Formats: sequence, C-alpha cells, structure tokens
Amino acid sequence: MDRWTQVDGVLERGSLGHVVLLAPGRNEPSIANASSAAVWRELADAPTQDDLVARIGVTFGLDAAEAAQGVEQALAELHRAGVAARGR
Amino acid sequence: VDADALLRAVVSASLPGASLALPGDPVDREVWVRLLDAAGAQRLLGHVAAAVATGVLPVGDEQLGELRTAHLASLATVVLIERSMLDATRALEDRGVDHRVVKGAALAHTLYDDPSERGYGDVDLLVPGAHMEAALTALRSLGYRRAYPELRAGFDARFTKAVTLVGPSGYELDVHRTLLMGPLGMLVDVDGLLAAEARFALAGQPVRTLDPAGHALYAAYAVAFGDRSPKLSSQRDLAQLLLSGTVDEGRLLRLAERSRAQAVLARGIRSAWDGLALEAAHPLRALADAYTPSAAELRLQRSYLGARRSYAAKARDALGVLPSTRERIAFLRAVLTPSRAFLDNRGTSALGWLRRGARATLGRADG
Repeated sequence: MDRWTQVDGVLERGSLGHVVLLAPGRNEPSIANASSAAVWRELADAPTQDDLVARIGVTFGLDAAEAAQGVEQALAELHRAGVAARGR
Repeated sequence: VDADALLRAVVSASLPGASLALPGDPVDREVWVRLLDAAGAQRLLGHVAAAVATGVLPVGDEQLGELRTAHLASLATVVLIERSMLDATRALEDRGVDHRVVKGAALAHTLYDDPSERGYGDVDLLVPGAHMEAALTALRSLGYRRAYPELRAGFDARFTKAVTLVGPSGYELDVHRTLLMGPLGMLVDVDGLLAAEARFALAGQPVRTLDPAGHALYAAYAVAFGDRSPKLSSQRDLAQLLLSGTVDEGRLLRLAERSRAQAVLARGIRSAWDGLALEAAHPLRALADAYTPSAAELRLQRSYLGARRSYAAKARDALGVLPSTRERIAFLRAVLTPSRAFLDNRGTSALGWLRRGARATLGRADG
C-alpha cells in the first residue's frame, strides 16, 4: 500500500496545535488546523493511509469512518499545499 | 492588571528564578487587547503562546483563538523570511563567503526548545569586513538591493555597522560587519566571535551561526545599547543564554575583554536580570553587580546614552578608537563628505549634513 510522507525542505512553525507550512518553491504558506497538523506530524515516519486513520482515530477519539474522512481531507489539503507526497 | 507588566511577566515566566506574578484567571478584554498589540509589535507573541500552552497564562476560548490567529500570521511571515535566509546562506556558501546567521533567526533554532517561541522580522548575518563586498555581490545576484546608498565608497567594508538589503520578496536582510554603531562597535573582536562556529539544520540545510558565548555577547550589546529602552526579547535571550548552561563563560569574558566590552556585558546582564525581575543566581550576574566601569569605559558609552545619543556623537567618539591616522582620515572624510547619492537619499545637501552633525555633536539637537 502507498505510504504518505512529508516533502523534504518544508519550513514549519506551530502555535497552539496549528501549524504553518511552507513548501519548497511556494510563496504562500499554508495553515493546518489541529487535525491536519496531527496528520502532518504523523507523516514523519511515512505511514500508510490505513495506519494514519487508525492513529488519528485514537488521537481524536473518532470512529473509523470519521477518522477516514478526516484523514482523506487532511491529506488532500497537505498535498495541495505541496507539503505531503505519496510514495512507496 | 497592566498590559506592559503582564507582558514582562509572560516573557520571563519560563525562566529559572522568575518572580513576576501572572493572573489566575483570564484578564479582561481591554488588557487582553493591549497585551496582544504590545506582543505583536515587539514580536513576543511566541512567548505569550508558550505561556498559554503551558497553562501559566489562563485565557478564554475567544482569547485563545485571537492569540492563535495573530501568532500564526506572524509565523507565516517567519517561514517566508527563513526561505529567503536559506537562499541567501546557500549563495554565500557557494561563493565561499564566511558568514554567520545571528540574532533572532539563529536564536530561534539554537536557544529555544520550540523555534516558534522566538519571533523576528528580518535576517541578520555577520561577515568579516574583508568579506563584505563578496557578500553583497553574492546577495545582489539573488536580487537583493541596498535600502540606502553607501556613505562613501569603501565605507561598508572598513567602518559600517551593517548594510541593510531588501530582497525580491520585500524582506530585509542586514549584513553586519560589527555589532553596533559607534566606538564600541569599532572595538568588537569580530574575528574572535567568528573563531567559534555552531550550526543548526533548517529544512535539511546546515546553517552557520555563532557559538553560545558569541550569541551572549551579541545579546549583551543589544540589551545594553541596542535601543533607547532594552527590548524584552533581547533581555530574555541574554538571560536564557546564560541560564541555559551552554555558554562558555571563560570565552565570553575573554571576548568581552578583547572587545573592551566588560562594562557592556555587565550592563546587559544587570538590565536583563532587573528588567525581567529574575531571582536566579548566576556567577556572571554577581560579577556584573560588582563591576564598576572605568572613566575610559564611561567615555566609550556616552554617545549611546541620554540626550547626547546621536549618529554624529557616535561618529565623533568612533574616531577616537580607530587604530591609525590613516583610518581616522578615511573615516572622517566619509562622515564629513558623504557621497552625493547618500545625501540625495537623506534629502539633504553637503552643508545641511554638516550642520546637522555639528548640532548633534554639540548636543543642541538630535542628529
């Protein structure tokens, strides 16, 4: 299964659970809310999407369907911002 | 609750020996707005956020949201500045230009557990005077432009405190030859500061900076004479550096001695401890308390203090510490007869420049 990773060279800062991320080659930082920020941090060890859903479910006390939807949405945001990438 | 006093308490809260009281409940709306305004203006939102995150500053939900929004906005600027810093330092590395990232951008990553706590608004580099031209050339190739013309050809490499550049994205980058203007700046042992190097990694790229003793001396100058009133951020930096246990105190004292800056160091330490009301014992605090500046040291400080503080007074006193007649003549010529481009930029004539300098030097007006 595909794994998700943090793109190399991202600049990052955090405040009170949220994070600011700036992808290489981008001029517009992205702000990730608490759940997207949690997903971003989990990408540090290149999990599969299933792993991510399980971990986020535990962290936020969500059932599997809610966690899967949240992770899907967060990954889409992070990917659009150029800070998350899919790999093997 | 006074917002300024509250901000001081917040900035000192996580230091050993902090003694300033923080409120047990969220402060009222008026104080909160003034606190956020002051913290934003002084780039201290990170300290406020840290105090809230650790629970020492209680806030309501609305206050939490406002603080987070303001802090994230400032951090969005910080990451853009850091991107420009990485581009700049890579260009300097590629051209073999000796340099160190100093002040906020370096301290955020080397002194604070969470770099988001230390805010800053520009990048500061320290380069040896002999590398100043090469540094400016490298940075010009990235699109950096001077914020103002050179006082006179050759002044930057020999005498200036720093050259301010503006990058393509609009952020400033200061290329420092020394740590402050005036006589004390001329005496700084920059080679000694650069002799020890530390590094930190940012987005996978190694970045050169000073060692903790070098940062401490830099912070002491900033606290003692950097501004009319010492900045809380600089006081916090200096106190945290010394209390962190990472500073080689022998090296710091040697650097201060070789820079004729023992009185600067003592003044900076006393200001940091008193300004933040710290009760933590430290051997250098004890030394600072016992230090009495000599008459010569007081003369070196006079152009930085009180009503006589001015550019012209600093230039006058700098003349007295330059090492040779040749240097003094070159400095005096540049200061008295700046380039046309410099005068035009200042909106004055050669005669107007001289009159203003004379008035300031004689203490009748600000220069």
